[in-house]
Amino acid sequence: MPTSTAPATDQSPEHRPAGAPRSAPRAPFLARLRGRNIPVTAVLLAILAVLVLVPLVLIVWQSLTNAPPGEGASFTFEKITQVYGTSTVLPLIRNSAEFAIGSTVVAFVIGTGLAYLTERTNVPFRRLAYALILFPLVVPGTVTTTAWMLLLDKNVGLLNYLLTLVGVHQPIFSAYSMWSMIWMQGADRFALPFLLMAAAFRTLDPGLEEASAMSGASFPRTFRTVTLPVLRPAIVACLLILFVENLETFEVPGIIGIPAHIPVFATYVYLLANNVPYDVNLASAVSLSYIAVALIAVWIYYRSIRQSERFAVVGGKNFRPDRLELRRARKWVTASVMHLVLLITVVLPLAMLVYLSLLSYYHTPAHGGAPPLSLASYRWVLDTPEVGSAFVTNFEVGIISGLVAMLLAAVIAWVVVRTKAPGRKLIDGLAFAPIAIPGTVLGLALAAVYLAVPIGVYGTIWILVIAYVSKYVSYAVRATHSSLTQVDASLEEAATASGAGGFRVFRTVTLPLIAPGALVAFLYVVTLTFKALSLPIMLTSANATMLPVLTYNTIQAGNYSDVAALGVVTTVGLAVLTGISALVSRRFGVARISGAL
Amino acid sequence: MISADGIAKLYSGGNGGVRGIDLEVKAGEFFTLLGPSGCGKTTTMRMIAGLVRPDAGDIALAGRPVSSAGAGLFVPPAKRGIGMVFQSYAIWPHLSVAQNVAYPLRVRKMRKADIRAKVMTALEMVDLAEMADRPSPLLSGGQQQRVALARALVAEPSVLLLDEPLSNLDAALRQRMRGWLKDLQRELGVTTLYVTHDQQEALAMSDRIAVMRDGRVVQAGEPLEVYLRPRNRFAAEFTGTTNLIECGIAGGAASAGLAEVDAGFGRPVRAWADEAVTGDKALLSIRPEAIELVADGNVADQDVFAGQVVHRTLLGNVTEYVVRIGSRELRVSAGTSDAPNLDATVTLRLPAERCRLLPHSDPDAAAPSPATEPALTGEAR
Repeated sequence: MPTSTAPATDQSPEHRPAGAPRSAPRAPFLARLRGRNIPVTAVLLAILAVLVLVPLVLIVWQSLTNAPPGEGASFTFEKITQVYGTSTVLPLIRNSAEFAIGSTVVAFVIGTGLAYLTERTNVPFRRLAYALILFPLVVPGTVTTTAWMLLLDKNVGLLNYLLTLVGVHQPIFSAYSMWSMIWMQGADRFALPFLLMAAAFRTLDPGLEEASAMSGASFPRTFRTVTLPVLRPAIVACLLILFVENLETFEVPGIIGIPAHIPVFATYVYLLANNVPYDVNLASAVSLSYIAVALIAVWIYYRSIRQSERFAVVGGKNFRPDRLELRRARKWVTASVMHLVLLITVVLPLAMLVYLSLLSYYHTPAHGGAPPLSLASYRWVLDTPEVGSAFVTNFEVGIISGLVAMLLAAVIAWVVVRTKAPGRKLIDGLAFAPIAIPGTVLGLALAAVYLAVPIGVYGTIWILVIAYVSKYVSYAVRATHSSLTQVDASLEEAATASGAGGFRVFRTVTLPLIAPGALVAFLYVVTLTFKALSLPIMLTSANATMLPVLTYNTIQAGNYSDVAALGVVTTVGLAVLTGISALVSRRFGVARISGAL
Repeated sequence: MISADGIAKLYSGGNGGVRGIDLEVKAGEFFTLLGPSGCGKTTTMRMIAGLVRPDAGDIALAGRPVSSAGAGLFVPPAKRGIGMVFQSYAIWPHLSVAQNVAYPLRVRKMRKADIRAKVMTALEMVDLAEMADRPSPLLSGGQQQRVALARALVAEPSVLLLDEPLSNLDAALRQRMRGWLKDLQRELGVTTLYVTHDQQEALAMSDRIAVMRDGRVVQAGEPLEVYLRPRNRFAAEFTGTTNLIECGIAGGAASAGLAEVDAGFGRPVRAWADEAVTGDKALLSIRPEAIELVADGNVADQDVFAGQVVHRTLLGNVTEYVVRIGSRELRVSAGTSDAPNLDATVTLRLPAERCRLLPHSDPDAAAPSPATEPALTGEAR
């Protein structure tokens, strides 16, 4: 225990008997931890094992038995054969691969194109573009998907209706297909590749490309032989992190894929665990391959970011590149294309969302003219007790999870960065691993664990807290990690040399310096609890419903206007949170979390 | 070989632009643009390279026009046949040393065997032949700099551009590379345009220099000429340490040639003006090493003054003094033997041809920043 290494033999000045000689100067708290850090390491390893390894072990165990733990399960290969011995898993793998790879490509192409234009050219209205690109980060995927669904629907979709006005009477768009799923997911997720690639473009020494031009190479040749290879590690990392996210996402596969009968891993696991006939063992058996795919991707990702760090040794400076000067017509054509893309991918679904929230129910204008506007949905949001309690639950769970994840991350980052403790690499790896455990699988495992272990966690907000901390501690670690590496150890040593005691050093020097990074991490985790669906969908109970799940249930009930109102309210709230976070990072120069990934 | 006529580039922020520069670099010449950061020297070089498109003016390389704002002509950098070394070296991290150097030849579609031979010759020239197959991220700064040079020279360009190539090296290595680079340039005879903010580099290596400030050339010429005969305050200060003394001119003007001015030494002092100076006030610039400490000098002699040592710093090969004459203090640099003591009374000779009379304020100078502006008390600088 870390507290057992605490100064049990030391007496604080208040408790020193009057007149007693001052005890010999005690070794600083931090120095002592550095020397004797095995207990801290052990505690961290134990916590991470409970958070990360237990769910994994349980999934394996459950896939090899025929009942949930504690219900007389016996060992069998039946479930494994049922999944992998038949053709069950093949369409699942194919759908998941098509969806995840397709949406990754869409998001990457849009995000990278926008990053190039805003970072490396003089295209006008860059600030507006920035705002539009980053705004989807605060819009929950559930509501964006709903908006796209009602835009693209074959029969009642707004776009098909608008086409009839210009004489196209055969519907062109259809919401329930793999293509629209890929489009919805890709168009909603290009902010991440944008941030990652913008950072890559910014740290790319423009001299590398200029040197190629001076060597006589044409622009396409420079792009092919210099720009692309130099950016390759960043591109690979970006593609992999997108792939993993798209593999685990539940919004589009749940809202579109389930009714369209296009199952992917996430929805298949969910349906097996939540629909009659329940079969958590079969779900676990399916999860094995799901985790395997994600783990491989995360492993390659981990390697590629290390490679990009090696490349960074060459550049690593701040560059003030000359922007590519687009001249005259080309400049305005480029600007038009860029803003047209943003209009379609960002403004269109958002406008649909706001419009939808102002209707009492959705129908196309074809069915009796434009429907009258009404605030009924907002009244529903305000007056329905379930909505209020979901907001309260979400706030509680979000804030507690954020705090716990932040504190745990601070300690983990400190041990990894500042100590030479044996096992710190293992801690780092374990804290990173949850990125590879899909939310639905983690939820499945945790539900089973805390059903079997009767400590009163199941069915309360605490199982959600445990789940979120396990899932998001990796994000928090990376954020605090980077702010801690910026704080030189000599700053702490200077405080020690000034006579400050160990805890005082931590409180007065270390903590204030990493606080901005930690605060940004905290707000990011809170934001995610209001957005992500894949984890809470498996864990929500009647007494503890998270907002994304309430939104999903409202979609299932077909009350799309209510969904939209809920979405608008949530978005405004998240925009405020993100605004605070942005202020903090700008004020204290913290790298954007997603940029740190 | 390089000829630029009235080239200009203005940036929206108003900083770092170039406001009209004429250059004429002869074949085989080592020409240096010297100036502080933001003076436009790098932008000038980048316009010649074709990396920046000039707003005005014409550029020709070896008689061939490559850029003309008026005629709308702009040859892209890839078609100018120039070799260039970047300040960051810009060594491609995904290629080995040999692949980096081979790149310009591969672009020119040379035969494989010829490429290998030429690359090895270029690497031998920079003493890196044994490093040919190293991954380039493993190189030290000095090695990267030499790879960059080999890459710039391998295609045998007629013009070589060097953008502060030594600024990322440590002091000792920088000093060594200076001589090495100059020797190499002379050996190859390649016309070289060099950009630096380091006056020692500029003086040591160049055939000619152009001192730049705020997007303009304030003085150009051979290094020794600029050093000994600065035409304005900025050129005097930027090419080395100097004493700048505010002085009064009787009659409100001094014509070119020798003049007697009141520098606050108690009696007039003779100074040389290259151009006529108008106004009641002017600046007298004399470098510390130009002032002679004369044993038992006769203060009745012309150019000889009595002063008192108020500060003395032993530097080894030279000793620096601050000597007070009348109401002014001068920095004097002299040999270390027979060093006078602190508070000693000494006699100084100020050779008239080394006392340069400069205009009180530089022409078209933008308001100088407080950090670079010395207090005009006649105190030693």
